[in-house]
This record gives sequence, C-alpha cells and structure tokens, in this order.
Amino acid sequence: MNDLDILHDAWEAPAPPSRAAHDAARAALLARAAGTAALAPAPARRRRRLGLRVAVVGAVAAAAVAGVTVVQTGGSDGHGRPRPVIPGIPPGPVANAAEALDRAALAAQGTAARPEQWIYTEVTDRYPGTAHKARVERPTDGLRTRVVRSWWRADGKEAAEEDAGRLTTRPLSDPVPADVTDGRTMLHWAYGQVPGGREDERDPVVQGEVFGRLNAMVREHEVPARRLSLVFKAIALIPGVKLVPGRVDALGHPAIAVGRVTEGWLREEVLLDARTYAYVGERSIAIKDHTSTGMDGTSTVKKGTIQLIAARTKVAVVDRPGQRP
Amino acid sequence: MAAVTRPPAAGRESDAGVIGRSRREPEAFAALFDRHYTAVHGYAARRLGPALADDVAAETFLIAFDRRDRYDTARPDARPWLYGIASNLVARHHRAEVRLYRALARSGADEVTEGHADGVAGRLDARAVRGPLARALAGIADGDRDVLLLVAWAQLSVQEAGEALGVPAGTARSRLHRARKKIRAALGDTDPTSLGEDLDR
Repeated sequence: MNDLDILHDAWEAPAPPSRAAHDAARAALLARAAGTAALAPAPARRRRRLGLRVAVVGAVAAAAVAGVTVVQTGGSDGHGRPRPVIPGIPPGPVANAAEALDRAALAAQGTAARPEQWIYTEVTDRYPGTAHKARVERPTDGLRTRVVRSWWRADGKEAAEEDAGRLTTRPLSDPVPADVTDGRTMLHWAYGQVPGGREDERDPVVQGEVFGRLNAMVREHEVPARRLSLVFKAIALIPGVKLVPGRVDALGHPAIAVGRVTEGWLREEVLLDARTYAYVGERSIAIKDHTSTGMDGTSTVKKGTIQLIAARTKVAVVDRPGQRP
Repeated sequence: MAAVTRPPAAGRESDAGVIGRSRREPEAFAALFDRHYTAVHGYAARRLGPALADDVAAETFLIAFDRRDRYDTARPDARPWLYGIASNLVARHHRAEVRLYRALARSGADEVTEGHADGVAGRLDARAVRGPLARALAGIADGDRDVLLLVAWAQLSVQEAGEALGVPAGTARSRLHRARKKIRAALGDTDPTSLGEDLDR
C-alpha cells in the first residue's frame, strides 16, 4: 500500500446519493435539455422567434443564460441547504391541473443561486387603461403596460425595488411556519390567512380568497425558492382549480393556464411555461359577459376581456440588488 | 492502485458518442448522467460531505450539458472532463472543505467505528490515520489538493487529473509530488526518496 492507497482507504466509501437527490438532479438536467430542445430549429413548422424570453423563464433556464448554474432541489436539510424531494418530470403533456401544478412545483424547487445571491425579476404587467371610465369593457380594448423590476435574495431574507433610479431594500421573512411541509398543511395555513378561512374552508368565496392569497405568495416571492413548491401543491388542492385547454399567450411566451372561475364569470389563472412548467405569471380573463350594477349605473365586461395579465419577462441571477443581468 | 484504463464495455457507446449525439438530441445527455452521477457525487461527498455533494453533483451535469458542444470527442472517456467541472465547483466551497478536514482532524480516531470487522488489517490501519491525513489535507494548497484527490479519490491518472484541471501534465505531476510529500510526512514517512517510481500512475 502506498500513501495514495492509504489516503483512499482512510475515508469510508461515501454513502450512495439519496434517491431524492438523484431524481432531482436528473430532472433538472432533463428540464434544461427540454428547454434547449424548445430552441432547436424546427424546419417542419414555422416558429415565431421568441428570442431570449423563451430561454429566460424560470430561474432554472435563466440562470443558465446568465452563466450561473441552477440546482433543482427542494425542502432543506439540517444545514438549511436545499434537498431534493420530488422525482423527475415524466414525459408528455399534463392531463389535469394537479399534474401541471406538480410540475410547476418541481420546476420551482430550487435556489437559483447561492443563498447570498439575488434573483432579478422583470415583470411586465398589462391592464385595462380606461376601465374606471368605461361602461363596457371589450376584449379589443387597449391595455396599458408597466414593467416592474425587482430583486429577491435567494435565501428569502431581503427584497429590493428600483423606483426612479433609487433602490430600496426591505427585509423579508418567510411567513409560513417550519412545520408546514406539504401541500395540505400549506393550504390549511393559507386558509387561516384569509377572511372567513378559519370558519369555513368549503365556502367558494373563501376558496377564491385563498387561491388569490397563494398566487400572491408566488408573485411576491413571499416564500424562499426552496419552499415554493409547497405553494403550488396547495393551489392544486383548492376545489375548482382546473387546467385550461390549449395554450395561452403570456405576452409572447407560450404558456399553459391553471385557473379557477370566480363569481361565475372571471377565471383567474396561474400561467406556467408550456414546456418547463416554470411559473411565468398570471392572468384574469372574463369567460362570459358580466354586468354589474352600481349606484352610478351598470358596467359590463365582455367575454374574453383580459382584466389583468402579468408575466415574468426576464429572470436571472445576479450578485447584488440593483444589478441587471 | 494503478490507474485503470477504462475502455467502454463491449458494444457500449463511449461517453464521447453520447455527448456527440446529445448535440442534436439534448435529452440523450441523460445517459452520461446515468453512468457517472454516483461516482461524481461520491467524490464531492468525500471532499464536502453529503449535503453539498448533492448540489455539486447536480450542478456538474448541468454545466457539462451547457458545455457539451465544446467537448473534445476524441476523448472517449468523459470522466476527466466531469471531474474537472466538479473540482471547480468543489473549489467554490473550499472554506467548507477545509473546515470539514479540520473537524475530522480533531475527532480523528473517534470516528472509526468501534468493532468494525473489516477483516483487512491494512484498511483498518488506514482508518486510524484519517485524523492526521485530514489535518494534512487542510494544509495542502488548493491546486495541489485538487490533483491529489482526483488521483486518490476519483482514481484518475495524473495525466487525466491534469486534463481535468486544465493544466499541463508536468504541472499536475509536480503538484501531486508536493501534495504527496505532505501526506507522507503526516504518515510519519519523511524519506523523500521513497516517493520514487510510483509517482507516475
């Protein structure tokens, strides 16, 4: 035995990687490969040039473009480091909302970076410009556009926004207790956060509120990335959440929608990347004509009118807030 | 412990073949993952412990995938390439690595399982010196340690270790030589001539 043999044998053979670590790593690789396949030339059909936006949806793909790698993992171990818990993305389309949100949960599992790095998110918001004056809102009405840029620390401890050239940061803390570890307990906790939630989780109005609350948690980065998968799993458990057939145009980004109809006329949707199922944004759309009557008269929203659409048009990992990729 | 040349199993496509194919069919890259993930993970786990190993191993294959277009397909075995990526990722955690070695150095023989019925006297003796070896590893320069552990733990040849780290073979050789002197000193062997012939593996 020479010194190298001794050096080898002095350490026990390491334990094999956990099934969960293996599966998550493999899924992350396949997700990246699938994202690349989406960009590959497809001579058999005409493709819209979607440019960099297709590549940058979701922290996973975006970080690759920014030259930083992403590890898809979820949950955390005793050191607070991410640990994978979900097996790989199966091939083929999803059959229902639960499957789509499962994949969104998988895509969400991950710190895009080291805990002290920041995730830059650019969200484009489009909303009716004249809604407050109009008596009738139509699908063809113009939408206003607003771009919001923000930065989120990967460990969930701080957020920053830029307004008129000035950067403001604020501390964040994960509002969700540590003993919430699955979709069901996350949903139950979320009910406790909305009016009427403690009294009756079966009230559709309350269910609408909790759907909105959970969506806001995703949109506003209220939980650290490693806990985000629990939010998607919770959304999937709300009654009435359904996969919308076909594709949705998330401001030029092909997406699928998982939505819930509220008050019988407005479908509120979570938008997921059509290929990687990463969270892209949200949309609210009238699925039938709706007239409401107020003291100053009636107003109508026509079927097909978008009330709100917001999509993450750029996501990337950077080293400090205020920095653009 | 001679370095083993690893021709592909009869009929099995080489790593280079898989990578070449993955340039047109990206998902085919998963075959490389299936072949080497466990080994890469084990190497990272020896250096950083299991939790960081999960991250390093996963990132290694993502980076490798991103760089597959640049892989030199004249090299049938992708292990040097993969271990090179892994070594660079391990290097980002070098403080954690050094802390781990220092902790092992302090706990030393306590970590050896009592009553471990290994049956191989040499191996049992090896475990008993882990403490001093860990202390030595903590004190070896990063670049030297990378070569040393690619040879000792990833079982690459010194030439392959040089390829992995992107340094000339001569540089890799001299780094290994420096590192082994410190290891030998930790083992109580300070005779410089004993390094001799088995330096080249």
